[in-house]
Amino acid sequence: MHGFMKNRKIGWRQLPANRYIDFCVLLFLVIFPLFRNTYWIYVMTGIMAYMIFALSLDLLWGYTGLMSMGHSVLFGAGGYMIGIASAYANQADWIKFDELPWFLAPLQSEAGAFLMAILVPALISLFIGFFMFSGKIKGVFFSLITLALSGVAELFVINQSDYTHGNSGITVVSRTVLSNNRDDTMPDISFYFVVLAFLAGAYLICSLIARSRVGKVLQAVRENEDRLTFFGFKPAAFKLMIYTISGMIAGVAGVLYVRSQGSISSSSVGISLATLVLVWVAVGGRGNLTGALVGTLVLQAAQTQLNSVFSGISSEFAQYWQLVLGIIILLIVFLIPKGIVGTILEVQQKNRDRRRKERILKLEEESHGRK
Amino acid sequence: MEESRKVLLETQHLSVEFNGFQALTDVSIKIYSGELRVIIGPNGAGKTTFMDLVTGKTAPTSGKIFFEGHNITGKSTAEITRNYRIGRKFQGPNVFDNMTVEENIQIAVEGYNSLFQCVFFHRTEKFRQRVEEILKLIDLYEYRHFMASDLSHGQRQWLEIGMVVAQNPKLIILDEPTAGMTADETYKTGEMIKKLKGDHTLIVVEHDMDFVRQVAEYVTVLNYGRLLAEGTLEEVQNNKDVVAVYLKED
Repeated sequence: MHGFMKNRKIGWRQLPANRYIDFCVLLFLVIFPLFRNTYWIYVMTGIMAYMIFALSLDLLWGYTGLMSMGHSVLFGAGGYMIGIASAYANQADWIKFDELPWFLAPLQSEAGAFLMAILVPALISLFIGFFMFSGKIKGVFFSLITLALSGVAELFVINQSDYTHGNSGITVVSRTVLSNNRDDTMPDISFYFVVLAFLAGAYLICSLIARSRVGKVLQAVRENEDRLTFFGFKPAAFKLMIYTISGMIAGVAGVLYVRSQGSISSSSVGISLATLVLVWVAVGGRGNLTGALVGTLVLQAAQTQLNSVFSGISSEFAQYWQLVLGIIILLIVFLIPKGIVGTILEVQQKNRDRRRKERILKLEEESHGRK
Repeated sequence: MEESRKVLLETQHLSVEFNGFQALTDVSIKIYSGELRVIIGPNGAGKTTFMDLVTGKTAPTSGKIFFEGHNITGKSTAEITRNYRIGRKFQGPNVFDNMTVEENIQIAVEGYNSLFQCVFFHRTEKFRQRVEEILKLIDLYEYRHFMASDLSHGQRQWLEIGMVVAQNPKLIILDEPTAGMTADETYKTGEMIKKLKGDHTLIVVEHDMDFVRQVAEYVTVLNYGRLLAEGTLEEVQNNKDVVAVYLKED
């Protein structure tokens, strides 16, 4: 009866479809610089930072079912740490302070700034998560509170113009990992591969978490939190942990984005980026990591491409690419609610379950026949 | 039932009233360690209310509940589940839909559920065997890689029984485990439950009389919130009161 299960070898055909897509995305990103100019390499470096950001949201939303509508706060917190550190190191002309306040003092050292860019988002999510999860806030209320948070954070950043340069944003030494010295700026292509390495690392960490027992418990939180409580779990602790980890990864994404673009402004903590990342993950497909990668890559590349195509037609036409992109997004969400990769995986699983079922029934028939 | 056996669960003069409706009146029941008790009774007899009282979902108006000699009257569901290890399968399958059968069981296996235990979890041989043992018990070993949502209704019921067993509770309460099952599936469920007897103490609430005949050795009959009769299936079936209210339709 169990014979056929043992005899089957686990070959490449057994892999879930998203493993191939992961491989294709990696291959694409590795060979991409061969075919594209410096402008596109610069664009793609930013997109890869956004992909890391999307991965961090997928851990939270796709796996745990916590739809954060203010994830940009954590991304921006990381970015602004680097922004302030770089402005202070280079004594930007808008700076009105001589000394950094004690809680920003670590920004004076380059490694300290990088650590702060991870630690500050982690502390923000720990603090907010503690009150929300111990207060049993879930579902749409979690989304609304995080949404309000991103609105507040955007205003906060604009108001604290002594440190953040308000609406104008901060110009940052670009294409370095730690250094705030302009002489350390790497060529575009080198920094591209640095960000790619970070992306691969973030993906590995996320998939390790997702496959671990913690990851399975998080999925169970998403599926049926009440039932999980009956098995003696305390979901709040798990949610707090993943929210904090997700915040740290978002912080790293913020750092890399700021370093690739050479600037940060209040829009990076605000509602517009928070909704954008939700759209990427929703279009790509939640809860499988690959979807977050694909959604970000496809939509952001399409945005850049459409922008240049429409601007090429005529200057009046330039603004309409957003309309086209909007319609495409609506169609995808309407036609395949599970997203691109989510739908592929679902079809694969259903087919496999059907074939397995046929095999099991056939075996049962045979064993009945022998009786 | 011999008195020398250990009493696991005892209720004393349990009564509960909802807005003037007397759902249970003076119910005193003793459940012995290792037995399989079937509770039957017509609709509205108070079977589910009795389960709710034992698992702490409802508090009694009067009377007491003892589990292994501890008074658990009025304690919370979470506390009763965790500290006194009473596992309950609710009516209708309540599983983690978008996860595989194996993952569902893995989540439920006892002793790996604090954050610390989960972070430093590694799949030991003992854990793997326990999961396999339960998958075979509920006859879903071949289906272990299926999504729970791709199973039939009956298989989902078994999956939840398996999840309750994986918690390794001292007392397993099954509320209408065969609801919505085909005759074949109902029979298989009966055999499954018989296998659990001895290692676990079980209380099964059921409507299906064929199923009751298959598994029952000792039966409690409730009617209008009162204890009507108790005894072996044969005794109960020959009890005039029981025949009058319940078994006549058969």
